Amino acid sequence: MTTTVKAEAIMRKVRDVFTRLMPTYVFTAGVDSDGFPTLYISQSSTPVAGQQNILIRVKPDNLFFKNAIESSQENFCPHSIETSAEGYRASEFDPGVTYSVLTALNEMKMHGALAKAGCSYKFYIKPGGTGVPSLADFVTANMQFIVNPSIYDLEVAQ
Amino acid sequence: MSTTKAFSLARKLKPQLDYLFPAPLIVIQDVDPSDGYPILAVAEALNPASGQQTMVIKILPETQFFLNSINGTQEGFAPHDVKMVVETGASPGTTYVTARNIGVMHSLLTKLGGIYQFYMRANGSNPVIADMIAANLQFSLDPDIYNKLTAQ
Repeated sequence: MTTTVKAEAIMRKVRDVFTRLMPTYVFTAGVDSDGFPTLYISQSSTPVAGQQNILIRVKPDNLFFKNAIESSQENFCPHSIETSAEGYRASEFDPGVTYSVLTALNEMKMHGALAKAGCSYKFYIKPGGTGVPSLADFVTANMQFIVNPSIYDLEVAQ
Repeated sequence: MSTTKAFSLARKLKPQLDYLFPAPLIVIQDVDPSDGYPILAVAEALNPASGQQTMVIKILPETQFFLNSINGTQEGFAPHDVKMVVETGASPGTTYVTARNIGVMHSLLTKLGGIYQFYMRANGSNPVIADMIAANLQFSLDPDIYNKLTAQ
């Protein structure tokens, strides 16, 4: 079990924010195999493919180093926020380019709230027609982008 | 009457857009001729058409409700609004901008530290600054004033 107190704290804040941004949605908290916190935001109490479903996970970034006793380095920060959504079965606008089934409004709320949480923000889209988002979607092939925090730029209200 | 801060924010945003939206997308910088506030746009062409990936951004200070010391309209310097408008796609609630591109844009604009307002104009015409009206406003995200967003 390698989860961190910070990951739990960030997820609590994320849930608090989304409870206000998407009040009619169902929130299901969970953990992955390493104990990192996850949050499933779904339109229905049991997520249905093609509906508005978002999976969020908070975890520390992987490190390449060894610790003082040559074991894997324990990691506490920085953290990443990963989100996954489902893609369209076939793009009706521009074949070959991925769109998510999320509405533009929900995309705005999700990206807007998570990108400024102070973590590396990673967004994944799983191929359309392969079911609802799951932890297995967090793979490089599905990654759309990473937006890193501005470390030296304290982002307060302008 | 524009503000130095609006242009400063636009200057900060422009290179990020250049880097994150490479060709074939282009980044256009201009000012609103009616009030002088900076405008940025990411588009597929210099003269965008309906159905393309076009995102238009305008940065300006919040409107003030007060009068200044000589009873004129109060000049506003902060906080600033960051507004973006896109065209609604063929299906309601969607846009022509890909999930990757609009996701990156939302992420950048919300971190700029202003009040981020997202507009969607009706399908059928490319978005322009005149579409940034209350009827088209989808959502507004406020900055976390008391929460300094540093790397976690």
